[in-house]
Amino acid sequence: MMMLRSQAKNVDPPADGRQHQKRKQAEQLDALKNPLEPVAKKQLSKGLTELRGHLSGFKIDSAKREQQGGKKNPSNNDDSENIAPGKAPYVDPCPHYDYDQEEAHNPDSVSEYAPEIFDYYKAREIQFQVLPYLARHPEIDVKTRAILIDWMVEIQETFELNHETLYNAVKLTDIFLHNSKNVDKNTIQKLACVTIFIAAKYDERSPPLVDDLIYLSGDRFTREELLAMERSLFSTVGYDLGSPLSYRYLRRLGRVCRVDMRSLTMARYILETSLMVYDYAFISQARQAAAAFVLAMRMMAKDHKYEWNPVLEKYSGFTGEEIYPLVEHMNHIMHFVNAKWTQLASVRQKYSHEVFFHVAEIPFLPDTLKAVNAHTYAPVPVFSYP
Amino acid sequence: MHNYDKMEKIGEGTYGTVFKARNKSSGEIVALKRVRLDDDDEGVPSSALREICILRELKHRNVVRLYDVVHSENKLTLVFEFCDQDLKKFFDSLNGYMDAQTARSLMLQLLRGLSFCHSHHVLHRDLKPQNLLINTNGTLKLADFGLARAFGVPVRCFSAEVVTLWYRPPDVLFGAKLYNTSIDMWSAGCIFAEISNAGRPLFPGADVDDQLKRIFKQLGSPTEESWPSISQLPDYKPFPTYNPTLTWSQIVPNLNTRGRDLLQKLLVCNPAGRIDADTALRHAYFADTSDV
Repeated sequence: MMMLRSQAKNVDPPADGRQHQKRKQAEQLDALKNPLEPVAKKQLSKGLTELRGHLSGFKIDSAKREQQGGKKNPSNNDDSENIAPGKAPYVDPCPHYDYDQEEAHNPDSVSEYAPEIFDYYKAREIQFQVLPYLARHPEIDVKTRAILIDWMVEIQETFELNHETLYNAVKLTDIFLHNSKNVDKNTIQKLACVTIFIAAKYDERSPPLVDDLIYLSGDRFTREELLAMERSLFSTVGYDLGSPLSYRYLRRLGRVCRVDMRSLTMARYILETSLMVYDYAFISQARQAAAAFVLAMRMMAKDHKYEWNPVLEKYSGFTGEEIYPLVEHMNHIMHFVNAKWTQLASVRQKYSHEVFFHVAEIPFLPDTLKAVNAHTYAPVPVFSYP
Repeated sequence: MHNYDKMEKIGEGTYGTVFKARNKSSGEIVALKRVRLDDDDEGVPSSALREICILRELKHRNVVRLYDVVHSENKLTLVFEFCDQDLKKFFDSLNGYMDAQTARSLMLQLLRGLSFCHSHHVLHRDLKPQNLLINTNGTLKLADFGLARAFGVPVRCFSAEVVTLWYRPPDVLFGAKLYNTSIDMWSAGCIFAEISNAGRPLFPGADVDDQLKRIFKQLGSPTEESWPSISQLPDYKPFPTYNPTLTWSQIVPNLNTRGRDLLQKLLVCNPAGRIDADTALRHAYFADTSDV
């Protein structure tokens, strides 16, 4: 028997539990089919294209960044078949601080392998790069995708799934849409169910059952259809499901900077909100995590000041200049989503809860960017990848 | 699966049946692992899904290669490289004698495969001789990743119902759910002793209690001093102090001093004190060729 977090904690008790829940989920799905405030798609993409054109000189060159060297490597040279590390000499931006050495006594930090694992994530990101895909899906627009993600957040809460599962499911959804065309609104609901289902089987000890997923989708498809969609996802996306997740990079930054849970939770709120932003699907996971981290630290600081520092540079591999434009845009997104997408409130409500230190109630920093119009956030700066 | 001529059944994995087969066009011999999918099942089982994902990711000489996956409505087929035998069958062919050079080579390859898994965020969680394949060139390959999983940093709690009893570390035997790469290093230690003894298992326990008793009889019962916070483990219970009856040179008579030193660094009850695969690969045992 499933339980909503809100039910478990006795907060905001629904009138009649499961029925109410089912109706709410079904309404969400209707919203998905017929989004309020439909966005004129042609207009949107034209506007974005034009503005992107204006900003084309803004491209940030991070190609010169080298892969972090870290400690390496004993007698084993056999991984040459996988990823060849960068050859240029690596200069440690913060030689006097070694988080993993300090944590060597702590078994959960996997100190022996942590630097290698994060280098490996970063080297792998390019394999999971997603490029703009909405032009190939006439029935889906930026808002429809946002509604879908909002619904996925709710499913994640309903089944009490790990956040890694949510992030992975969103990534799988984007990869699928990147590799397909003409997906209609009925299929996209099934797709979201299947990506959650698969991401949960990959990572969770007790993944949700097919029947429960179908129930929460308002019985809009059969189990045969869902299992067929699972096959379709594997044949489209392949079987490499372990893509690097921004959520993991963020936790790493929180740990190496030794920040308190409240600040880390603020950063998670920002990062999860930005899952709803279509254009962020094209930005590397590592960069999104770094930007969300800096923005959260600024919001939490008394004077709202927090600058890039050698520790962040060492453990993220980015310079401040590579991250600041995204920090500014993420702040804009927080304003935009809260003001314009008011009915997509799953993330905000989640982070209003005391379990999450009520971080959604913390005021945003002033918005320095201007939305294109009531439906369109300011254009996203162009970044190199990852 | 019309591209393959099925030959004979070679075994049962954690899930699904394994057949030897020949690729009709290339003539290549492969191993097919078949998983039946029923409509009332939960789609692709998570054990198969994890094995596929992990092996899609891990490409290394000492990790079995997954060539292809064929997914139909009622069947999932994994196409693996074929290996002639597993370490257990190899033991059976030895007639009780393992030469030092082969033992070292097998151990070196096991640790290389493990180091690769661990630095690529994967725990195997079911290392045992049956899951180590050996091909005609003497190359050892980690196989059967049906219980394996990717881990994040920091690690989360995972299932304590992992690793075949004889190769299960004491922390997991006490119900620990928070473990890391050290879980595989214990198994590697047990296998190391078994290799050097040409296939005699080190700790062939009958149940969890007997397993712990066998371990502590050899290594001494752990205390809060040797293993801080051991008493916090879910299924912890104190064991009496045993007097070791056998010395290490009696237990692994074929191992030289350096080999025995490495073995003792692998078989440390407190997971925090267990050697990791990278450090083990730099151990003097692998530099020593005096007995070759």
